[in-house]
Amino acid sequence: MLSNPRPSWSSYVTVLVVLVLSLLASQLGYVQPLRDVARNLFVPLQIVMSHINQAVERSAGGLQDIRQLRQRVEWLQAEVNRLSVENVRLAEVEQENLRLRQLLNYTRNNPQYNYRTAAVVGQKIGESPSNLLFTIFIDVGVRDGVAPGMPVVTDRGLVGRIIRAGPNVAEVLLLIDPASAVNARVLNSRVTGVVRGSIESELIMERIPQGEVISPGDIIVTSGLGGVFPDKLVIGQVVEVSHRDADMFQTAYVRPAVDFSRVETVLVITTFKPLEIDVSLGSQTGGGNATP
Amino acid sequence: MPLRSYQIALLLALVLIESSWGHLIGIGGIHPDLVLLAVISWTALRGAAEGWVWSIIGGIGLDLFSNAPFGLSIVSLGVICLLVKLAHSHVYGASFILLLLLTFPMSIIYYALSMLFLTLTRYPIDWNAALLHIALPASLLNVAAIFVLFPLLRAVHRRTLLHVSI
Repeated sequence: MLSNPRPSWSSYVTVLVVLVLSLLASQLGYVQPLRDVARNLFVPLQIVMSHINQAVERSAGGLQDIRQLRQRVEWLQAEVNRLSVENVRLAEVEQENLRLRQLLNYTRNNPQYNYRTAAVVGQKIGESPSNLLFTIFIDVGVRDGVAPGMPVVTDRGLVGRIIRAGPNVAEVLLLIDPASAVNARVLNSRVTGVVRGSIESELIMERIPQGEVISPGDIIVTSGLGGVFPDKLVIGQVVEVSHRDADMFQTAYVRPAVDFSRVETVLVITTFKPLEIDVSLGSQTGGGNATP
Repeated sequence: MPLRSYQIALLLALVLIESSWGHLIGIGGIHPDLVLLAVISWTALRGAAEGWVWSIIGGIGLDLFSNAPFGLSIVSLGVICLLVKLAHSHVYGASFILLLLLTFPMSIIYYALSMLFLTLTRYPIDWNAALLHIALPASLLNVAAIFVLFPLLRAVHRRTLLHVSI
């Protein structure tokens, strides 16, 4: 180990003052252009890393189950022997085709919105490096018509919303982020509430009035109230309901329809104009995404 | 204490790996904090002066790719750098064992600082849940990850020292 000369306390104080100023600048929004430049600069690198990541994930898909893994390895070895490089490429294309076909069906079933998607756009290229924040980066931005506030979905349901958009990259606040809150309702009974994310990557539906009937298995969709999200976007399914007579509201635990750990291709609803677009971190407290 | 290009490249690579391959190198949606581990390791290897620079460069990288207030990671990593230096200066013959012992508490402190800054900036954070479900498992994962990262950084440290002496 080396014993380098210690920096003086004045240098620490100087740096701390600069940091405090940068924090203030961040809160006032002056740092955002710098972030946009940096993020756009690294988009190509992130895309390459994302492609490598997908290739690795595909080949290691059965790691969770040892038995499945063994069978898969045997199968893969047999496949490697039999198939040519061209066949592997075709298999990948087929997977991609299937995914896109599912997305296409989704857009056909929901023709009221203008969806922007293709194999090369709306692709997840990164995520927040912090374990405490749940955001992802996608490879579409202002040049593709994407703007802050626009909802992001997959064929399974709602993913989140755009919170920042650069020329070629956009940041999506996921539903499971603690700062996310969405006005929601039960699909059949029309019971309303607010779905919030939590640090445990779960969804919790709050503010369900006492006396309303909500049961495990109920499908939760966006209500469209407040104009932040369009209505009828699937959020998830109720797995547990908690209600105490002393409380004003019931709480339901919702399993997300989207597997956030496996999100790859997403759709951005570019025609939806949210009423509230201030989604900065500081303004998200108490349901900044929703207007309960 | 000149900041060499390989150091910036290394830190940038760690930030990109965390951002792009986080879920691949992690377990259950939680990934090791590579930049934090790099700052801890480099401070132990090269002292507070270089560790301080690494915490600033690494922190800027993390903050640029994060939705958190700018400066959060820089401050948190800077504090960790100072704490590692303090711990090292009080223990004779600092070693990998000491670093291993430091990694867990330093990770917890890093998360506590991050959560404190998020709370101060009005981000809704459940401290109990965050400590239990994020900070604790992530810190354990960091202890495991330091077994891989520290030898790599030590190799870089030795190679660059040799280069300097020639």
